[in-house]
Amino acid sequence: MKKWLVRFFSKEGRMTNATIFFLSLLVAVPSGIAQERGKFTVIAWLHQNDWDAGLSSLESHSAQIAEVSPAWYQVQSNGALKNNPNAFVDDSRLLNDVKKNGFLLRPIISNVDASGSHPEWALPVLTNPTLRAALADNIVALVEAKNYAGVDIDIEGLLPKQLPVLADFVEELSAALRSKGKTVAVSLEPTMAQSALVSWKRIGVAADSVRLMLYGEHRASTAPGPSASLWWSRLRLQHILQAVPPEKLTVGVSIVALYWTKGNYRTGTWQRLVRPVQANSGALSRDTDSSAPIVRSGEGQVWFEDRQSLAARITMLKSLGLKKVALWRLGGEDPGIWQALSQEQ
Amino acid sequence: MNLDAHLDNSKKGFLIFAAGLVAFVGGLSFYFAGTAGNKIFGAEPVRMDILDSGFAEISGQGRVAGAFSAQTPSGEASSMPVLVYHGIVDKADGVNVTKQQFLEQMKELAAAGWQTVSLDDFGAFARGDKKLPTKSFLLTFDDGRKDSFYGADPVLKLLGFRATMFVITGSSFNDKTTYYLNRNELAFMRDSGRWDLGAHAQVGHDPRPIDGSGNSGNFLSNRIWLEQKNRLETEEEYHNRVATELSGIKTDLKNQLGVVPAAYAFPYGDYGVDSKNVPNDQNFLLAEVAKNYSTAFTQTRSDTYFTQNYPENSAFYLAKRITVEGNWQGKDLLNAVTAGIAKELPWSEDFSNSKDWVPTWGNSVGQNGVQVLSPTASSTGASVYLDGGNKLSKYKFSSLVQLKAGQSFSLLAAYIDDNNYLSCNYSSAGITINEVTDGRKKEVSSWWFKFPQINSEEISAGIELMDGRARCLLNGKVVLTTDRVSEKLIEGSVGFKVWDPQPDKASLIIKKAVIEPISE
Repeated sequence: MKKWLVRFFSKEGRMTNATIFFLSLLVAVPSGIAQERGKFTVIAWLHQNDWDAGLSSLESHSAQIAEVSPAWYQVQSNGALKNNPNAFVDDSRLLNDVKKNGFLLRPIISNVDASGSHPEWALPVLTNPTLRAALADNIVALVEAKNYAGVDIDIEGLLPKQLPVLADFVEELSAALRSKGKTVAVSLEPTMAQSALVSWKRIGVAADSVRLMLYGEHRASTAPGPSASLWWSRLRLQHILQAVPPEKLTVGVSIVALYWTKGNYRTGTWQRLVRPVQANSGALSRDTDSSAPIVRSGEGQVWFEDRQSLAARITMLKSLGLKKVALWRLGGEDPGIWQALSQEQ
Repeated sequence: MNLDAHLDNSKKGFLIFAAGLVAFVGGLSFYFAGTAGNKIFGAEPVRMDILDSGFAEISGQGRVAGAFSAQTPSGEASSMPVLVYHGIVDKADGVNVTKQQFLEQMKELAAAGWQTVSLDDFGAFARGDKKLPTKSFLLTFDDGRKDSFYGADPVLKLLGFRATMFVITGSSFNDKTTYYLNRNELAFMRDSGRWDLGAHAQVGHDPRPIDGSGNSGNFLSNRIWLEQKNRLETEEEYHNRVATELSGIKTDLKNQLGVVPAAYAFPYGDYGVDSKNVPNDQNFLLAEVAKNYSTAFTQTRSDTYFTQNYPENSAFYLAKRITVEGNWQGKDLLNAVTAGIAKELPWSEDFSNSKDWVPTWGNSVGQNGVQVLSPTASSTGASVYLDGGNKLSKYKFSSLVQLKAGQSFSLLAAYIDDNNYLSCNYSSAGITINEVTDGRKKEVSSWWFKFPQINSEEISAGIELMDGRARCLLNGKVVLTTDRVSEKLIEGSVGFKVWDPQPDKASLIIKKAVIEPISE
């Protein structure tokens, strides 16, 4: 052992050039690994409203994306599944992209349609053990028949006190899918309720990953603002991190543009809502907290996500040890967001 | 020498004299007609001896019993088949049909009541300007080969048939030709009342080099390699060459024979679809053809669907042709021309002769009154569609099937081609409706339930198509619906498909197929 050590140090105890080289390798290799660990994982949510634009974006940024979750299926109150109306279920273009790029494909199964969330579809199933088992069976059959990697369970509009039945379901479904080599991601709505923590913890243990849909701070019924300011986001993340470990948590980031005009609100893409305004005026201001960009046109204002605001968000996520984001939803987004992500990939 | 023999000899002498006179006058008229910059007429005369012996050979076999009386067609044709031959040979060569086969084939059609139409009538029918009786077909020959004319003409004469010859003018108007029909022969055909002449090529029939490394491609659909300039021709040069070729054939036929051809047949049926270095240029080629001709013909290809031609209200028509294979007997040809007749509803199939079902993938074999779909050794499935069903709309397609092996089977509707159709898919995991448009598939509706009996029982499955809506049926009941069908899928044929993830495993037995009209 001594002999071995001597080789790398000169008599005087100074390091030889060879030793410096060797040690630099020792330093470089782990730091390389550390960088690898620091890679941000990007999950792409897809929705029929921006389907082809979403696929074009997916194809353009395939090297940056690990997984796709298209909004394809709906839960029905009898435990059956149905295709989301107008969804491009099993679109061969997407299936080809998945095959070509090795994306994980975990479609969304939700209780949401164009009019919003429907707890009345989900609760009769979740609260009835027989129907709950039937729904799990149907999902297993679907995943096996379609050979999906798993599913993204997105049950929205539940009150915190109703979350225990969702946790029951996730535990049962996870066990069933895991036995077939399939996985479950669960998408959750952000809340600051203490009562959510117990169920979240159970979900965090049972599911393979948890996706916090961290947006909706400003919407139709609020004043204009970012979809998720940084302080609002940080609070909610700190809350869920009490229940779900950071390595299991994916942060849902909205890249949808929000447009408020006098007495009117709608959402759209950067491509449709921001680009034309920017081309005309070029005027862009920023929210001081979130760095979110805002463009104004007459009395209207559009809030969206760009390179700078996403970079600020990523810095905040990193400070919490979070390295996975899911983008809601691909298609027509500001191309700058991909540059912000590439800094971390 | 007895009197009869003397008379015979006198007759022969007279005939030889008459033929010589005809040839002389014909030659003179050609000389005067063709003096506009053309060489003095020097082609061999028409070999009447071959025609006469051909006619003598077959007339002994008698006319086709009942060909023109017992089965006189009634009604108007909704669609029309076009046949294409290339040559008619003395001995089977595996590619061309023999004289004897051709006679048998034509007699088979005639006996079944089929009659030929002229090229002009076909054009008028295709553009919707003229109604023609059912069991009408157009008979065509490509390349202007002598053997086609000498082999076919006696048969046409015998049966009262008419045919179209597509001519390679650069070859036919070369006086040294012995393989292609010459001016004399083409003029004879023009005047015979049995032949129409069309354009096939001037100099553009043979493939050309398309790069510096010896690869070749079709003349019209590729930019060709200019050896001397060591480069590919420019787009402009390509366009000019195509324009010169297409108008040149027309000019040749007009100058040499006074014929203005209304139709053009693409060499190898390639209207840009086989292009190797000018992708997506079909529109240019078709537009260029349309400048000179009102009808163009392609031929059977793996990417053509439905064998017959339906009238379209357009100034230019691209017609499909059925290539008659060298090994076809008369029955095979009759099957080929009847398979694609426009289906009228209600329609049912008992699978005693499954000629109407065209396989596009895997194998489809009729046996003991059922049809069996199965993959090839390397494919994972098989599919068929119903020829002649392409204009069907608002129907219920019902079937009795058994999934003998495999994961799923499908009933197809609104089938336009393999890239555009609807399907109800049945598997042990449930039922789905898929929509395929422009080659892109998506699932528009699904019902997931356990359906294990799919692999053990006979299943009565059906699909309904009506104005943008589709419904899947199981044992007579509607089990799945969608009202979001693409506007492209309003009409089209029906079909079957069977599939399994493993190659060479799936097998579907089809016992019955019925199509009934439905109303709102």
